[in-house]
Amino acid sequence: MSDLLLDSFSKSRAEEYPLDVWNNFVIPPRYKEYSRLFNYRRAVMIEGGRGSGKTMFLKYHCHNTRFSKKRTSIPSRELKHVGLYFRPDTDFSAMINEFNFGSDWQKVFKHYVLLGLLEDFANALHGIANTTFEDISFSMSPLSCCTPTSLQNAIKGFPTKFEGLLDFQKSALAKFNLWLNDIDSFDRPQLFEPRTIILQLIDQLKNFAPELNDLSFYIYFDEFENLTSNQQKVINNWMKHGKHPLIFNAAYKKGAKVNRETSSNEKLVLRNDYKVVDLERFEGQEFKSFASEVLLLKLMEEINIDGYEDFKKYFCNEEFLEYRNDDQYKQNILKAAREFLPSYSYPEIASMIINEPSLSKRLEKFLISPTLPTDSKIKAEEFIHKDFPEESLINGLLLNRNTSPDSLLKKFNTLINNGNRSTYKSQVDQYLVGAILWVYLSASWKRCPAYAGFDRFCMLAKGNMRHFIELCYQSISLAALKGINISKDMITPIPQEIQAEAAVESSRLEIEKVDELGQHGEKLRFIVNRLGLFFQLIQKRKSQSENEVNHFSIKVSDDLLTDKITKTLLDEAVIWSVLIEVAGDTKRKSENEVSSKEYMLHPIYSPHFGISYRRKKKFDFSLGEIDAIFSGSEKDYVNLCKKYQKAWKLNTDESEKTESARVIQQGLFDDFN
Amino acid sequence: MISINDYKPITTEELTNLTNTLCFIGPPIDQRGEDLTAALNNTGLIVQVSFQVKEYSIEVDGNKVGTVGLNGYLNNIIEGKKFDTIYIESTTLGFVEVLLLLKWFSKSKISTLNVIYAEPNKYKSRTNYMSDFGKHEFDLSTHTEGFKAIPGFAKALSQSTKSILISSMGFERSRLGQLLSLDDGAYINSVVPIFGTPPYQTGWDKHSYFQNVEVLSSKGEKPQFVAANSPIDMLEMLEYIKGSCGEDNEITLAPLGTKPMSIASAVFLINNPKITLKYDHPKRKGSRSTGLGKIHLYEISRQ
Repeated sequence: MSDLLLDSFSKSRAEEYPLDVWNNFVIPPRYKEYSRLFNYRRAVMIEGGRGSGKTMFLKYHCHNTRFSKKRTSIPSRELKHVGLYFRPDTDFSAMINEFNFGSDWQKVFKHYVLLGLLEDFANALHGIANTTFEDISFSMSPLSCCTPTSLQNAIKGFPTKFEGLLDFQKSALAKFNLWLNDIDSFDRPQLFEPRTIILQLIDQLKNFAPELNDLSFYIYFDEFENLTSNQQKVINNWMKHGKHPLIFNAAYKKGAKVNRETSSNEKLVLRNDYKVVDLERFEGQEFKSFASEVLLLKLMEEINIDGYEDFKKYFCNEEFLEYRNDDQYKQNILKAAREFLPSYSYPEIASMIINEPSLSKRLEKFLISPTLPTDSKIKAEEFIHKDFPEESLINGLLLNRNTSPDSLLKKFNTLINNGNRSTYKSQVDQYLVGAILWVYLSASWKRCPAYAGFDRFCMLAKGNMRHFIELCYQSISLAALKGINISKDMITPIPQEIQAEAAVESSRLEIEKVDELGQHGEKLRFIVNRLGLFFQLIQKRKSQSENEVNHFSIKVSDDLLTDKITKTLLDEAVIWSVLIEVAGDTKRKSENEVSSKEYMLHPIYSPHFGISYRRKKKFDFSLGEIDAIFSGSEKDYVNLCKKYQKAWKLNTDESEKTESARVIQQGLFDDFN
Repeated sequence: MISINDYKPITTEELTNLTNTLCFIGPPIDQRGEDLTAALNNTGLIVQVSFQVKEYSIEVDGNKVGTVGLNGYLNNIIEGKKFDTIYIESTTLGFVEVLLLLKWFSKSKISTLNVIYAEPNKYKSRTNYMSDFGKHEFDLSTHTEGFKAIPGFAKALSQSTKSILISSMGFERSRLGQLLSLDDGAYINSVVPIFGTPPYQTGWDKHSYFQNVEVLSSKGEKPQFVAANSPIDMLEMLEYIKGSCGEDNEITLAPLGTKPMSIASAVFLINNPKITLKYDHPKRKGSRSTGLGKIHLYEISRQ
């Protein structure tokens, strides 16, 4: 059972799915808004971070899915919007430039695009010809339509009928490759312009049958940012002048610097020339609902969930969008997701700490005892009470903030006597999670249960479906390893401890994979480690006065960020979603000269470092400090850490010996030994 | 077609005693490169070759030539020159230079040439990337230029057929990792890894297993092993893998392993024009190895 379920969750990339994703694509919550954009006859730019579902979104709109055999009924209006998919082969495209092909490079590039599009165009036509539409039928197959004589005359070997188009494409591709393999020896093949050819083909089809009158094609370029800037410009020209029945669109990573220029003076202008679909824009609980639907769809591939049989048909069907907005429906799907991935509340975790001797010892020995004067009559255990675990944890922090032990004990004893928790309420609200993280960070052999649970997985994923699926995959995989039998007939909850371990494992794997992210991946991995360790250092502070720090700003205006390496790496980190850029608190800008932008270390990395996944407090780095992290030597970074270690009185005895970052990592809790 | 006929060890003294040679060399970046170029310096005609991927140009003795047109240029510069034997000094040359020179050779009228390669005596210890910060150089010009195709070895692939990637495995997981991450399953279906085992020295292969095991976890096929310093072994392995793949399968090749394995990859690519090259143009850093180890001489002939 687990194996089948793992198979279902192992597919976290659209590329692992076939081109036809009908019944596999959960329609995103804002789909209605997006689909309106597709009726607008201009380019649509699909933005989203890595793993946000761009390719899946494109595949859903392309012909293989729209004319899927899995669809019970296909309306003829699909012909108004036939999607063609083209994902350029990045390293192949990089070769098509002026250096290699001189002034012909544009013709070579356009020909390459045409060969890709022609293949999908021919396949789309086969799809249309083989579809039984609910409201129309063709008297003759569109494949038997004659191709335009203009093309037959101009292009050697061009087929006379549309049915021959795929063979023609194959032979043109072979000729192109033969030439590319030995440019010196072979004559350049005839190179064609995509729009001229495809528009003529569409016109011919429109005239062939009245049912094809409204035939219109939408081209989707995936991974647009991987084309060179000049190649993007070529496609921008097509977008600028795209009109019915041939519209060009693109998908790219959010934050990537894509070219908006065309070959004329006119740039592509938002709203006039294109509109944007932002796949990572979720409001309120939208991502949670979406994630629970994706989770349930995958679970229900293998598991029967009583009372949920009908739900499966809602997820992938545009007609049920309204229904999926219903509160009762949302509650139902969230309930099932939470049943599969249960969590402990923060007060429950606090109680677990107090009731687990090895953990409550951390509180007593390392947070409370060192703050009590040696001659004090007060005992550390007096600040801990099993009925008041949250307040006991808060006591540990308050004692490290120069609070008088006598007055605090008095306050705590009053609480014990009258049970009125209001005196601690605001501190519990504010600092409990920081205190929990502190305890588990100090007890490295224990996994922190604060990372477990459906809602927490959503926070760790931060709108990224691939991360969410990976967290589920690791949880199921670990559960299987630990011998948990997953039932086929009902939801088997994954224990919180296993989920917490899976979160740490996913986090570690994600950090390892950072070096695969683009040309500067290796540097980004170092940055993740440096930032993560620095935030971990802050998390180690016993006072937790700055708690749950996992994002930062820079104490200068952004345009003063002059170090080229830091700037490049910061941009790259945002493009690859290693850092999440958020609008800063501009009110504070004038006071502290803090940059208007803030950057959060992606929460998926939090469990590895034992830090918070919630966006609470930020750290303001000076320009020099941010350079030390992003582009400094090991010594620069270690000195930065040492400075704060000293200021925060962390590892005071050890700090002098801290000469390498490895020591910082290994010696995090040396003061406990 | 070209083939690797033979290989034998050679010493710097024997190299120094060569006469009437035409030697293609690259800029030396470490001890072994310096020793070899010094040994070859007075043996005949020396031609410096260096490929710049940013502008897709090859500098031949300081003159820039495009990748297209290189063959004609090389024919011109050797015309009328007297030499008995051609040597390609592959320790100082990068993979692309070796590939382009062998392609030129395959189209020429010359019957044989020799490729020289020297092993290092020692590699610097590798970085433990989860906790080590020290060996990282924060210079954007280090590492690689990214995967970029080379004219003559690139092919437009159909979107509907996915390919098998054969990759010789090196020390850095990020290289294959980046290739697979960039592709994201779009064109590459599975990876056949080839490890250099036995390695130059005992234990050196261990690192490439450790580095690549996770990268290979999802798409990796059964691993293959060839002697790290034997292009003949490697070429046989490539032919064997090709033979077991079936005619219709698209094959791509990423030479990310040792130079001798890359020399075999170059020969294989030249003999099999349908196979596509995937290469990331790493910046070669001299500080990575020290000393001069065994020197090999590989004889390559045209059929």
